[in-house]
Amino acid sequence: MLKSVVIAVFLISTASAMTYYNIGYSGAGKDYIKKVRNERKSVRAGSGYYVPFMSGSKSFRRGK
Amino acid sequence: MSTGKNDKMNASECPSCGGNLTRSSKSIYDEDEEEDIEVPLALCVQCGAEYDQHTGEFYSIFADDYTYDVDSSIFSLGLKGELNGTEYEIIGHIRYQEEDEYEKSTWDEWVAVSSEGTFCYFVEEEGSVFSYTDYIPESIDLESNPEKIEFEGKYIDREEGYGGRLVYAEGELPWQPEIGEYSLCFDFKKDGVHYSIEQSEDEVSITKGERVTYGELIRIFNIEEYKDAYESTVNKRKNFRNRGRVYKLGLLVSILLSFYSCFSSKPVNGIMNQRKVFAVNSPMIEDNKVMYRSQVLYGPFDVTDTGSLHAIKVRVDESIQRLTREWQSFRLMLIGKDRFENRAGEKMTDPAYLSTLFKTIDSLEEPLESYTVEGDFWDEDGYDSDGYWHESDLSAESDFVIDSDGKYYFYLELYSQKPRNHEAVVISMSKVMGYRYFIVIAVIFLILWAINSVRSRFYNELPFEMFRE
Repeated sequence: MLKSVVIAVFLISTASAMTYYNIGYSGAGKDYIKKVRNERKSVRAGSGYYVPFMSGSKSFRRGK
Repeated sequence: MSTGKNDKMNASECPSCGGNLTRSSKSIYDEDEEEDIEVPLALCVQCGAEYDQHTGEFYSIFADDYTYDVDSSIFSLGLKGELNGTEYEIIGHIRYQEEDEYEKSTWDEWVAVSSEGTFCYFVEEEGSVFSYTDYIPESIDLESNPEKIEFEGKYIDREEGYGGRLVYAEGELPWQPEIGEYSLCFDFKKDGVHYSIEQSEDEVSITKGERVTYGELIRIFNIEEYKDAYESTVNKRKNFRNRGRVYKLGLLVSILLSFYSCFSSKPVNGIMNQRKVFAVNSPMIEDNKVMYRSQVLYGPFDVTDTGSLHAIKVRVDESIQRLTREWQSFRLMLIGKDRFENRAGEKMTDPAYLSTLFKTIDSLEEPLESYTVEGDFWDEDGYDSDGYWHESDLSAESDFVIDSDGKYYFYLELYSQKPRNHEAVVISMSKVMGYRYFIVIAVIFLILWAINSVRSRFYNELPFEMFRE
């Protein structure tokens, strides 16, 4: 029974800690900017990456 | 008394013509299953007469199908022990099969006799044992009422009775058993006491009984060979039960935490109070089709809870404009006021500059936005084999952790196949608490609880079935 108490406390503590520290969620701000900056550096001009929102193509619209 | 095993089960002859009976089957419609099922029956090879499970002839052929585990019992012939101050010896054993069942559904009756000649019947079924002794009721009426029987003032529906067919007999019994013989049984409780009425062709037997645990039986009959296994089984079941309780408590705690997290939100106010509109249903050509773009900047608004989880919700407000049989795509960008001002400088109030800036926002080497949410709203309907259907998705949500407080803008870009009112797209943002990990551990606790609950009931080191003690 002690083992089950330890397991239960461990699970609840882990879930509480992950919730408190927002682990696993997307970050807005520095994290996002760093990621997008790196993505843009890796895409050559004229590759089509920038085209979508200029022309309104299907770049972000998954469409139905 | 009769002795020996199944000693009168050789009547596998057709009562009509004397021909041999053989195993056969036929297909019947089962109303419960709502389909045809194959049921066994005894068939006369000579005259073709069929005997189903409601006949004694059936069991002369099929009795062995119900006795393969007949030795799996705590009891055995010759066991001696003292029950309620009287010494008994197990002298006989019979097994009944429930007549209405095609599958095996049996119970065993072990007959014990005392030195004074009184009988005790131990009824063993599905891991439980009841000891019954003969009982003479103050009043009983089995005949007057076609729907009920009366037993000491208690009325029992005849429909509660069930038929049993004898499929096995061994040892010495107070009557001559015959395989396939029929008994109509009523089991009921009155004033907390168990009673059983068995009505056969020749007699009515009334007994009164109580549940006996396997631990008591091991003690009564001093069955050494099962003592260790019994104690180990009981201890481990108790252990599993206690573990199950801990996991059940964990499940409740995690559900409560999930609910608490779900309902702990604080809205960010003033998001849509100020707006700058750069384009409204501006036509664009895509794949030779016209679509419409709108661009709106909302804000600034204050975000104060740095490091907290926030949720953005974007939805179509159908009270402003319905979205029917069409789609609309959106892109929402969260933009920090400081970054925006650093980029635009004095042109913050220049609509032409801002419009161009947002048109080219994806090509900026240094991203302007701090977060982006993209999605589609759509509405479809039609007809298929089940008739009319209608599906739609009119909202989208995204969670993120914001790393610095201050003033922010939302830049909203809309594309639609028909001109639409951009005010029908509503943005809201709240500080929220995550609950996904509490849901995950709730599922883990549920699985652990289920496993331990099952093991607390069915863990068994004994060579026979034992229900909860």
